[in-house]
Amino acid sequence: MRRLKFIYLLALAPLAGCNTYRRPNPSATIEEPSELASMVSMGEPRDESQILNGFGQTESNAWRWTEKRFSVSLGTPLAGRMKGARLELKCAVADVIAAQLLPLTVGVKLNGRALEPRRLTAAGQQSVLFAVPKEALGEDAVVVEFELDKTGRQGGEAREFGLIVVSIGFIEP
Amino acid sequence: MMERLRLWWPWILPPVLMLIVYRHGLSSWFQQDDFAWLLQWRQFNSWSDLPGLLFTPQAQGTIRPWSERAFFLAGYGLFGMDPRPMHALVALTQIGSLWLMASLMLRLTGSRIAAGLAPMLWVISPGLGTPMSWLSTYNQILCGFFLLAALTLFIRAAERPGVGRTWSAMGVFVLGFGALEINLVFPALATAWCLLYAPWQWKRTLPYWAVSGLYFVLHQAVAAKPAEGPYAMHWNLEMGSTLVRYFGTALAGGRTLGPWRLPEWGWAPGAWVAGIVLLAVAGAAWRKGHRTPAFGLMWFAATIGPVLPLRDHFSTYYLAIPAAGLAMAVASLLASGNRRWAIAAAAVVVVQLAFAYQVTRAAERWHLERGAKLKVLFEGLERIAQVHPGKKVLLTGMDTATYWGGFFDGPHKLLGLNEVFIAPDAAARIQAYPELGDMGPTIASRVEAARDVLWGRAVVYGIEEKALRNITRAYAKSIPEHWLETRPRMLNFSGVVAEQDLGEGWHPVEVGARWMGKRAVVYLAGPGDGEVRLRVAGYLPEVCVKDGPVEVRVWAGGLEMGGGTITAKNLSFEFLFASPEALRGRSEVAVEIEVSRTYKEPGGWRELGLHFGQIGWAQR
Repeated sequence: MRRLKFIYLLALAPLAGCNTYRRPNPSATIEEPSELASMVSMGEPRDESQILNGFGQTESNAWRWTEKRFSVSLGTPLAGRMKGARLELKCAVADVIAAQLLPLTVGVKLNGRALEPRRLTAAGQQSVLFAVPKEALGEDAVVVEFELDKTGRQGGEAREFGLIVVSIGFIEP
Repeated sequence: MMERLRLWWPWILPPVLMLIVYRHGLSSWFQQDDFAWLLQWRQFNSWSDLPGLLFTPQAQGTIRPWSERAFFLAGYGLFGMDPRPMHALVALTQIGSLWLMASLMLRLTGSRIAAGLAPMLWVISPGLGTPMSWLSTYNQILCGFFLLAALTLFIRAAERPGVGRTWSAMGVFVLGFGALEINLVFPALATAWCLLYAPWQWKRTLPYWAVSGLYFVLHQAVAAKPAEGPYAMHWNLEMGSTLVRYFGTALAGGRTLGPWRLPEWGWAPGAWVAGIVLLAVAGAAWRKGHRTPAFGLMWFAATIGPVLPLRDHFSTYYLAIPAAGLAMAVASLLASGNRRWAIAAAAVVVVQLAFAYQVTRAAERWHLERGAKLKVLFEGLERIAQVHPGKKVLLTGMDTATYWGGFFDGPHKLLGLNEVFIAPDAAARIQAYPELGDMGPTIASRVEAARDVLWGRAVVYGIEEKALRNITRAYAKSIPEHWLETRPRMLNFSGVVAEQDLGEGWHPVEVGARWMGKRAVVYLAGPGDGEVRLRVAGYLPEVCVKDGPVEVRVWAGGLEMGGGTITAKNLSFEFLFASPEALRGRSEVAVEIEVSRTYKEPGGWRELGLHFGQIGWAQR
């Protein structure tokens, strides 16, 4: 009887904690050559090459301080070429410099073409949206240049502080 | 050495032959129902789940804890997506059956030739082609093993009575019900043996009849009894013609395959001749006191009996166990020592080799090739889940065999990928089989595909022979602009739902779902071909019905569709309403949903109505 119990347990025990993970076969798909993303995240190492200038170091693997002017390159979404798009700047106005910045005007140019600027009046996290006509998205890629009308200073540091940016990209209109 | 070989060849040669014949089938990959069984693993979160997983009736009310539930739970739990150890268990079980059959034949005939030939003839029968190649049909292999083991023990207990032998026979018989319902016929096999070899032992069969009767009553209580479709039972004279068809198929395959330049019906004359010869010679042998051929035919009739009412579900693999009876009959005639009978039996074997064996080989090769395609698909999806996490996947280039051979059963769910669809227009090359299932939910609509691909939320892959090729960019460029103009026919709130398809009455999006208030509107395209129902499905937390049921009313295109009630018993609700013909083909239909009461969030401002879910047209 004891032997039977042992065999039973031996048969079932591995079910409890066995590992069914397997490493995907890299040859199982044939991928396209990489292209520019239409949305870049500040904490995403893969997007680093699209962050052009005007940004500080990545903080907490999620966000970066900007300077007065900052820019990124973005791939243009195919639907955007047909229907236009919205450019989304996910950012925050830091409480510590809000008094120096607000109200703050954010201007933007796509391949040199200016869009309607936006005026920020509150501190904290926000999503700033710019309407983008389809004519501005005719190329495979665009350089997006932002400009703030002012920046702030904090903690006796010499550098200028603008927005805290999380991501920049195109979304559905 | 030669002496040992002469003694033991009936136990050595049949397994060797089996491994040679089924070398392809035993290498085949998972397919079709296998994925549904493998998905059980996702419900196995603690040991307390195990009894429910093993014994809750499933597909058609079946309860097969050993051959399906435990087999796949243990196989996936221990070896993941590697079917080889599971095939090894199939092979070992069948080798056990071949050994039991050799022993049984030696006991019944006293001939080592019969003992060796019977399992070899069983190996080449068309009934084993599928069970030896497709893991979901392990139930046939395991049930055959239990029947042979129980019969061997029953005969031993009858010949040398003893409490231990009697109870071990009964124990194995009862365990056999965990393999397959056909185990029910064991008392008939035991009675057949008593009738032919030891009539005075017939009383020993009574407890077995009682157990089978009890099982039959219990099974009838839980089993589904469909009135139509492939699993509908037809208890009428057509069972006779089904029996003849199975008998002919066991002897000559039921199809004409192989190198023969014969018409499709070319197998049938061979089957008739072999069948008539076998019955006549077995009858003659019985009259002369050779009872094993008759026993073999009784085995065939008893074990095929339970599937004869399934007139519209004729499957060659149902012959896996009955074919053992034919093998016993033919082998015993070959070894009978009567030259005429042996020649007649040899003619039957020639027919089997010429026709039936070709079907066996074709079945195992077909499973090998279908499994290989599914392996390419599964490994590709596994890689996509790694390199494009969170993206919806659209597939092109899928053929009918791959779709119905596995994709329909959702292998991607094993990878945590819930949004894998056939790309619009790519479904055209897949043959629809409504009796197998509704293809609709597995095919992406044009508007969804256009939105998801063009906004970078989906990737598109073409299925090639050895890999999946990412064709997202080319596919995106081929999408016509008007695809973006249309409304979807189904809104799935677990994915991204465009704001433009929502009217008034919706709260902001949450992860995987969305709340409506007291009244809400969505915009859909009108129902398409075959979409005969409007499906409204979602979930309501229990707190929302604590003050009483919630009444739901639905309108589409201004027409009242009907309503439903949500209580604590149907918190996961699904309402299906008949699609009005007037809405068919319309470019836009406003669907309005209203509830009789809402729930106000404690400390919040939201009035919560229903939590979705899905809203859209469906084929059922």
